Amino acid sequence: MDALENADAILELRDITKIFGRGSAFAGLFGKEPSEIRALDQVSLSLSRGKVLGLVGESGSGKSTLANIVLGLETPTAGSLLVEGQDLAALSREARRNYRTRVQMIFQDPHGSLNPRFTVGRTVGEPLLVNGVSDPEERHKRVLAALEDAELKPAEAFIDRFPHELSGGQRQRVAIARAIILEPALLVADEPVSMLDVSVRAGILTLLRRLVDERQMAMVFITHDLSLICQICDEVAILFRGCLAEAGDALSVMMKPEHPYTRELLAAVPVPDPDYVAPEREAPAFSAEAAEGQRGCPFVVRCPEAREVCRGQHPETRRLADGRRAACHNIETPIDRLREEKPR
Amino acid sequence: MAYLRIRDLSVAYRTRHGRVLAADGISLDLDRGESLGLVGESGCGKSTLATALLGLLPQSAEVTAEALDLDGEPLLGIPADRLRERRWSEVAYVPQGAAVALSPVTTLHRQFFETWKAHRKEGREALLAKARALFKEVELDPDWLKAFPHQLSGGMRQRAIIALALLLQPQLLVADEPTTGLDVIVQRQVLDVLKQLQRDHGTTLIFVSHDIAVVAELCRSLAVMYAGRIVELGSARTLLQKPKHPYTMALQRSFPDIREPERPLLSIPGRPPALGASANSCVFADRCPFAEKKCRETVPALRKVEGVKVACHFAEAAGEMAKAFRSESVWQDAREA
Repeated sequence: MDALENADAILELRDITKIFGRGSAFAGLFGKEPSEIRALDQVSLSLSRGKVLGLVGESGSGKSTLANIVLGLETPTAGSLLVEGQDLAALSREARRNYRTRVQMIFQDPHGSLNPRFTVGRTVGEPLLVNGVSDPEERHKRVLAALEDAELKPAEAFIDRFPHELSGGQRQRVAIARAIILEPALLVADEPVSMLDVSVRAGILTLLRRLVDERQMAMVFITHDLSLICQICDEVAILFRGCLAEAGDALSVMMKPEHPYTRELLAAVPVPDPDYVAPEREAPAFSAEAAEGQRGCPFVVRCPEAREVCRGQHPETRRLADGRRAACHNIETPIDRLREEKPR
Repeated sequence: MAYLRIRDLSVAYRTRHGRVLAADGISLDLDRGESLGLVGESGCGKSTLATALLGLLPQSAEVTAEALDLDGEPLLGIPADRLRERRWSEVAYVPQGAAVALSPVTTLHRQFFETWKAHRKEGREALLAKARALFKEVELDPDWLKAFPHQLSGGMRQRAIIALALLLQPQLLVADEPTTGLDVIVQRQVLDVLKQLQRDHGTTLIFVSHDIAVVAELCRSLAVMYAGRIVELGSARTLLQKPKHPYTMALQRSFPDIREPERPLLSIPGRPPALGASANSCVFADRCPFAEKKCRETVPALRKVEGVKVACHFAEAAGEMAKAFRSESVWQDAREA
């Protein structure tokens, strides 16, 4: 994997595969064939300091599995995960504990992710307590600083409040303060604004971007709202049924999608203009999945541009001229073009 | 006369912390076959208004209105069994979160039959034929009728709920955020089904959403709600192309548009007012960058300005406001003020 060798990388995923359900006790119990679900299939990604990676795909595409693997909550079936150059699989128990402080999570629903009986101060301070900061005064000072950094000002006015006294946007800011208090290297944010009112979304996105820039963290931003991608992400990775469809610079992927799945996703986004006429959607070229025993392109059943080769052969992830990567038989790479110009 | 006629509808909830006026003096008309989008932030009263149409508000709600008529017959103050009769056969409801709206312990077929039994005398065969036809219409394989809800994906479940809502051929469909939480591909399928319904059956649609883009695609007219009131009402095209109320402008700017991925999004400073009593000022005055003394002292009436209805003292100056608005500094000044 060429450009994955990245010295400044905070996060590196190398051919991550995750298979669920292999050898399930229940499947055997009921005399069924054990079924396998390939939640992730050889996904490689890398993310540098100060960058935000958007992870996009429909439900079931494997985005949450990938997030869980990055958080260390699931172990990949194959492939390796490096955070700040360390291979997660090789870590000792103690080092793994330390790892968990380096990667923090922001959840979708700030109503569910905060304990209703904890004050803001206790919620934000708890990661410190768990990680051995026993001096209450130091904890108090750091909680105030984290709240201020999450733009809950003045922090003293918030520290003794309970979640029900806060608006949705303020609650999400509390969750962000809790996530940054241990000064992590990497944030994983799972749809952090989709439950919030539109009028406060921009504020949360700006805050997350500022924190990533100022603290030189990295962030994985999971969303299915493509119109948010260019608001906050530098790079984007599009997943389909556990496979990487397309990945690269956020703006160029959004403006000029190469993979037919990216195009389908973009065309499905509603446009806030009654006069806008959406382009006709093309029907898929094939109605059947890949032939028995063969592993074709996962997108073949829905792809309007599929050819016979797509049913029989899984497309490789290849690098295109502008540096992005895509897995599609129909996309021409610079090498293909060279071959055409100079026939052997 | 309009198919749906609402005059001065107010809904107040009695709570431990006093009265909350969730909808305040709502008036609107909707003709048969039309589609109306209700948009606004959470707590603006859009769901309260939608559920009031079905008479499904909780006991703690006090509903008052000069008129709330559907097809010339009042919906308010009628005997409970008459309301039950009209509900579902005339007005049906598609709730938010289809995952919890269906019973997890019975098959879909059974749930369709329960609804059928309550309203119709024809037996099981007639229902089955109807349900199968409806499943085809929402692009689901009729065999799924035998399934339990958990066997369906989120999008399939949402389409099954739409089919259930259509079972008794209602004239009016009230959909409360039916696509919220679904991914874009599934959302697209649900929107296509709703569009097709309007086209093929002339169903009247009231669509509640916080998503301007979805509403723009589906609805011919639009009501923007804020703090229990309608602040702007008119054709969706006019409202989105030439908004007259500063809140409509703000809402539009805070929403992303896939065609302009780099346009910065606006965050509206402040938060909606507490819904204690009927306000004696403009409800948006506290967050409005253009608010003046007048706005804090008198309630702007919903009045006709250039073809739309708008509740703003300065609606005639909408052009200048819209211009001022494009510079983000307007909002920063408001924050500091």
